[in-house]
Parts: sequence; structure tokens; C-alpha cells
Amino acid sequence: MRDGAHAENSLPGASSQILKMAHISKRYQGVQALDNVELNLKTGEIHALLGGNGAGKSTLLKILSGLTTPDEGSILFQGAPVSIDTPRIAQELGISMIHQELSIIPDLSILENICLGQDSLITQRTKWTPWVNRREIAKKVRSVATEFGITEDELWRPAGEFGALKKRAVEIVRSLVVQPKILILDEPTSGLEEHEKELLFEHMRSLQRLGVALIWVTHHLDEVFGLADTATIMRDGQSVAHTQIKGLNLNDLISLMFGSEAAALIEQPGSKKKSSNKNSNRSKILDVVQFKRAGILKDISFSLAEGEILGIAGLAGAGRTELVRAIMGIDKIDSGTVNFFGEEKKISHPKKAYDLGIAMVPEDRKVLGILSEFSLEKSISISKLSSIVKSGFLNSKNERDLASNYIRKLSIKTPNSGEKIRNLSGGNQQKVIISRCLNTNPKILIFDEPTQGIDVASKVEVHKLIRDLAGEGKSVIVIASEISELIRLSDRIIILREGSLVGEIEEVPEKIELNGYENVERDILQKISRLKS
Amino acid sequence: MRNQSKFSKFIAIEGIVILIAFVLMLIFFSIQAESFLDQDSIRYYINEAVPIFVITVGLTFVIIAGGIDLSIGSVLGLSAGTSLMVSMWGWPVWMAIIVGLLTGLSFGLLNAVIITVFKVNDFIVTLGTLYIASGALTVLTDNIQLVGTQDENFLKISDIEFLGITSAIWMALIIAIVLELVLVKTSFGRRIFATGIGETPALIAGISTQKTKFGAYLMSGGLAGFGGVILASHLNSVQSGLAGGYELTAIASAVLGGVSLAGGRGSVWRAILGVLFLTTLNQGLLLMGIDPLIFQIVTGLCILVGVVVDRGVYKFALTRSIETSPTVSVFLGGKKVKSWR
Repeated sequence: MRDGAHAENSLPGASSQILKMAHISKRYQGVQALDNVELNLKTGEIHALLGGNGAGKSTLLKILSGLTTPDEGSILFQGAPVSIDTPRIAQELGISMIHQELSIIPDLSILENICLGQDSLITQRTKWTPWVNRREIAKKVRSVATEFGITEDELWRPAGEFGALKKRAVEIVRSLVVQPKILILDEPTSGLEEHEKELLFEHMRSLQRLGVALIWVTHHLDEVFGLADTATIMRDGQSVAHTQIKGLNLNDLISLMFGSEAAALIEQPGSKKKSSNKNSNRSKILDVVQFKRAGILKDISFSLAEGEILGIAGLAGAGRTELVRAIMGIDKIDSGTVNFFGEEKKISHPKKAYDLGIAMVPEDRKVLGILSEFSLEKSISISKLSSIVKSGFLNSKNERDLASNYIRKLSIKTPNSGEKIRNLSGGNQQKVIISRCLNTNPKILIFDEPTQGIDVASKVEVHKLIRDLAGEGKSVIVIASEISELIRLSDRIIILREGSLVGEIEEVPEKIELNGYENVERDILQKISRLKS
Repeated sequence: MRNQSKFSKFIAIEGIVILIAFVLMLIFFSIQAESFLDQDSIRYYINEAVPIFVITVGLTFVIIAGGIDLSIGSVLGLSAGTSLMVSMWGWPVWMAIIVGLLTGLSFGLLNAVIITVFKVNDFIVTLGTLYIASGALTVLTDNIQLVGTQDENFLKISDIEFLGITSAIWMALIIAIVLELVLVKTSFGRRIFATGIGETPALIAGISTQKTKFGAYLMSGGLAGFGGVILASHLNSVQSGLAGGYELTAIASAVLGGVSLAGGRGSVWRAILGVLFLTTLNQGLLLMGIDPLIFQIVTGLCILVGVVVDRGVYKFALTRSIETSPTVSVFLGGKKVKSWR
């Protein structure tokens, strides 16, 4: 296995081999995180690194960026063996990484953000003055910045004024200051809107033209096509495939990532099982009447029926999250009422929402969702502690039983119910949060970006779960940036733009492939993004 | 799936490091200073530590809920003053206790309202009430000489012996046990933890974080009041500046015991261990005949070393548990395909 297969690597040429990681193994306290992994990279190629949560991608990248060292294996950089023991060595070699989370300080100007951590920019002073000459530095970065859509004027404005795309661009420019040969992008599209993603992909092509080799980690497999040249696919700590992207389709990738049995489970985009009863005379359960909040929500009214899945479409900042937060009583609104089963209710605090039977799975799971120090058990019981109280005290047996019940029901993967929630994978954390909501016995469940940052297999499970819940008669509100996800899930979709309700899709077609999926998607896209006339 | 070595499992038990250090210190002192194990000496210095012990327990709740209470020391001093004063006026002992408790509770209430209703930074608020309480005690003792109540019963509050242990220690023990139970076994305690781990995610999970914090500050104030009553009964004299700086000892004890200042982590018994550690250290050094002038330096060093070691061990345990967290995939099996075309 260790011979032959990659003989062509040593060939010199226009697109020469820049990195060759071979037979990389890493054990952590008895767990084999990486097992004989290979990764080959050529100059100027976009290389997708794919795999489910826990497949070993991040460990491999940690090794490449000097954050940890492999137990076995070799790394050849431009043909010469190197050992990347520290991040500094990685930087000197020209290996940079842009992390999934934005590393932008909002109060600093774009220029200062570009300089962040790039001492070379600041110390290379032309004049013998003790101060940093910002104009001088601006001159230096200007041309690169323009290439990535940052105008000269914008260099001086605080980064906080700009959206996620511009911040990504700042990170790219920052990484280019040290002239990287390899740039690692970890989920660069996270937090971007659909149309912004295209622009980011343009940036990635520019990087490619500059001769930078890109290693691109993404969970959004559909993005890979048409952009990535090659891919390494990892599963269970092994690199199971090294392949050209050309000539593959989505299913091929999925079966490589999760095994062929899994691919069968993961549904085709065309098939979907809608929550069963579609008759419009289902009883109304929630009425949101004229929600107003200065500058954020403009007179929004809608209703929700029993057993219905209502999708909310819109760009970030359109007021989707703000709307559901207002319903939950997390944010205050200026005016507006909520009718629950036809009765007007004041929900001034999330606790009241839970008491009424409204529960929410929030966006941004790591920050807003999980209580990181809690064990899985505590995470599930927290929203309704009374469910485990026995004669006045929290009962640990009840708590454990409650947890095991949900672990079984939602097939949560965990060593035991005492495991801290932060040690679980993204998909399993999300299931724990859903369990927490279910434990309050809600009539309405609100999901804000429920599949953000979780792998394809978990995503399918979460989707199925949402549909099952609706099937049991619970009403569901779903917010998702990915329009295809929204169409696939929802019975009905309302569309928000700049805080106003601008449209509604009453009947989301059953068979989205056949019955105008494209039309619906185009319709939504048009409505959510049309500029104010 | 977990493959931790016995050692790393053992060392990951919360509070184990400080417990080991404490035991080692006990052994060291009993070898070095002969009178260290003397019953009277032990009883004496533990008795002295009771007021700090009591406020540390209250402070632990506040810190775990993600807050801080700097006012407890001076509130304790003021409560000692008010309860001794009314006792000197000839009020019955139960009235004196209630006055002391109310003094503490009213400061706790003040802190709680300003912090949770007006949303002012807890550090600033309790710094303000620290000055108010300490100033009030100065004013109080400036007018009246607070020495010597005639009421024997008042002195007995802290000094009835039962099974060879003073009532002050009994009360401290009961408070510790009950409040540890509250922290671990009640909904209120669970909410304290949730609030400290993250106010926003806790709020979204449906927890009244402000009410929870309110409760913690109120409790901290009440316990400071109670500590004041015990101190007044023990000393039978109160002067300006009494118990000033106790809050720092309490914070140091809690942190040394591993209560995280970031909130969400800690327990009553660990904070208590911190108190015992610091007071025993002082007592041991005293009995060894070491110059009291350097006590503070040694105490400071112990706090630093203790916290650094505890942090290191926590990180060690943390990385272990993350790295060993299993990479379970739903779809195991499947042969290793080396290269796919």
C-alpha cells in the first residue's frame, strides 16, 4: 500500500506537487484519530477535504498548521521533508489557515484587521520613526485588497460595518500578506448568504490564479462541483479516496464519505415525505398579529396551524431570527400581540413561552444553544427541571432515565449520558437541544438554522425528526438560509425582506423536482433579495 | 470508548488536587510543629474562621452564577456592629440576630436590585456597597463605643459547646451541608450553574437568569449578615474596619478551591476546602514560629500556585476528554479503500 500508487507525484511541471503528506497517523490516548492518511496537493489547485464530523479532517489540518505533531508519517513540502512542529514553522513555510469562525475585530478598521498578527507588515517601516505609518501600509496592501473587493476607502472604516463576505475577504487579504503557498479554508461559506457564496467562490478562483494551493473543508457538498479540482475524502480517521472532482456526482461523494449503505439513506433531493394531512382547515394554533419593532420588524402578521411546518425565508438581517426571538419573549417588541389557541398571551420571557408550549432550537448552536459545561443529562432536563424533581429535589435517577429515553429515541451518539455536551459532535449536540425542547412537551417548535454546521448524515436525521414531529401533530417553524432545505421541509413558506413580510408560498410542491422546484426557488430568491424600490 | 488512564481519571476529579495539597500540608505541619494537632489549637483557629467560612459559601453561589460580590466583608462587619449595638441596648438575643440578618439581607437586596434590574456591572455595584457598608460601620462606631453587651445569651450564640464543638462551627457545618444540597440537588442550584455557564443560552433555554442572580446576591448578603452576628457574639466588640478584606480572603478561598471566576464551575465543599486550606496554612506557619510578617507573601504564593496547578489539571483533563471523545460514525464498517478512481 505504501508504494506505487503515487509515483506521478514527483513529476515536475507547471502544476507541481507542493505538499505530500504520507502515512500520517495520530493517536490520542488510545483513540486512533488518524490512520495512515495521505494528502497530496499541487500548486494552484483547489483541493476539497471532505468527510463527516469526526472523520479526522481537523486533526489533519492541525498537523499541517503545526498545532500538533503526527506520531508517524512524513510531510514533503516542495519535495523536501519538513517537520512542522510549531505554527511558526507552518507560517514560515507559507501555510496559512482561515478558520470557520471569523477572526475579525469589529472596532478596528479593515486595514488594522488586515495587519492583525502580521508583524512583518508593521515592522517593515520605510522611515526611521517610532510610529506605525498607516498610509504606508495601506499603499502596500491596496492592490491585493482591491482584487478581493475592498476599496481604498473601505480600508479606513471599522470592520464591524461590513457583512460576513467582506470580513472573509479581509481574512483572505490578511493571509496573502505573508504570501502563502498553501491556504487552508475551513468552511469559508459559513455565515454567508447564497448570493455571497458565489462571490466568495470568485475570490477562491482569484487565489487559484495567484498560484496558491487551496485546501478547502466544507460540509456543503454541492458547492464542491465546478470549483474544486481534486478531493481527499476521509472517513473514520482514514483517507478513503483521492480523486478528481470532474466526472463525479453528489451521490458518489456521499457514498465515499459515509459508505454506500449511508448513501441509500440519504434521500434524493427530489423525494420528500410531507407531513401527511394537507387540508387547509386544520385548526389554527398560533396567531402573530402586527409585530413591530423599530427598524427591525415592520408590521408582521402570520398564523400557524396544527401539524404544519412553516418555513421562514429571508436573508440574514431580514428579521427572521428577530421575529422568532420576539415570539419566544427573548427580545422586546414595540407593539404586537400573540394569540395562542385564540387567546391573547403576553410572552415577556422565554420561560413563559416554554410554559405555554412553545420551544426553540436557537441558531448558532455553540454560542446560543449549548450550555457547554453541562453534561448531556443536565442539558436535556434544564428547560423543565420539574420533570425530574422528586419530593422537592432533583432526582439523578429520573434525570438519567430521561436522558437515556431521548438518547434512544433520537439515537444520540454518546459514550454515556454523563458526557459533557461540548464533547459531542455538532449533529448530536443539536439532537440534545431538540430533546431539551421536547422535554417541555411543546405544541410549537421553532428551529432557527437547525442544520447549521452539521454533516450531511446528521442533517438528514434532523430533517426526518422535524417531519416526524409535525406528523405527531406538533407545529413547526423553520428558519433556514439554504432555500432548497426550506423547500424540502416546509408545507408553507413566508418570505421576509428588510423586516417586512413580502410574500408567501402557500403550496410548496410535493415533488419538488417535477413540480417546479426551480420556479419556487427563483420566486423566493427574487422576493428575498429585491432591493427597495 | 473512553480510554483514559486511571491516573488521568483520578486527577480529573474536581477538587482532588487541592485536597491532596491540603492533606500534604496537614502532614507537613504535624511533623514540623508539635502543637499543631493540639485539640484546643484546632478548635480555636477553626472557630476564628467561621465568619469567612460562612461568607465564602454565599460568595460561591454568586461566583458560580457568573457574578462577584465584593461587599460581603464590610457588610459582615456592619452586621456585626448593628446586632451588637441592639444587644447592648438591651434588646433580646433573637432581635439582635434578626437585626444582624436584616442588615445583611438589605445590602444583598440592594446589590441584587441594582445588578439585575438596573443591569449595572456587578463589580462596580458591590464595590459601591462595600464602601457604603464600611462607611456606615465607621459612623456607627464613632458615636457609640461598641464593646461589651450585658446579654449573656448573645455571647452564647457562637459559644455553646455540643459534642466538644462550638455552636459557631455547628452552624457553619449545617449551612455548608444544606447549601451544598441546594446547589446540587435543587432547581435553584441548577439554574445558578446554567446562568453562570452562559446567561444568553440559559435565557434561551427558558431560565429566568435575572431572578436566579437576584437570589444569589440576596443569599450572599444574608449569609454576610449571619456571619456578622457570629463574629459579634464571638468578639463582643466591634470597631471600625472590622472584617474589611474578608471578601478578598473569601474570593481567594473560593478560587483556590477551584470555583471558576468565569462562572459555571465549582461547589460549596471545594470553596470550604479553600477556606480550610488558607486558615490552616496561617495557623501552621504561626505554630512553626515563622515571622508573621511574611504570612501574606506565603498565602499569596499558595493562591497563585494552587490556581495555576488547578487550571493546568483542568486543561489536561479537558483535552483528554475532547481528544478521546469517540469519533463515532453512524456507518462503521466498510473496507479501507486506498485509492478510488
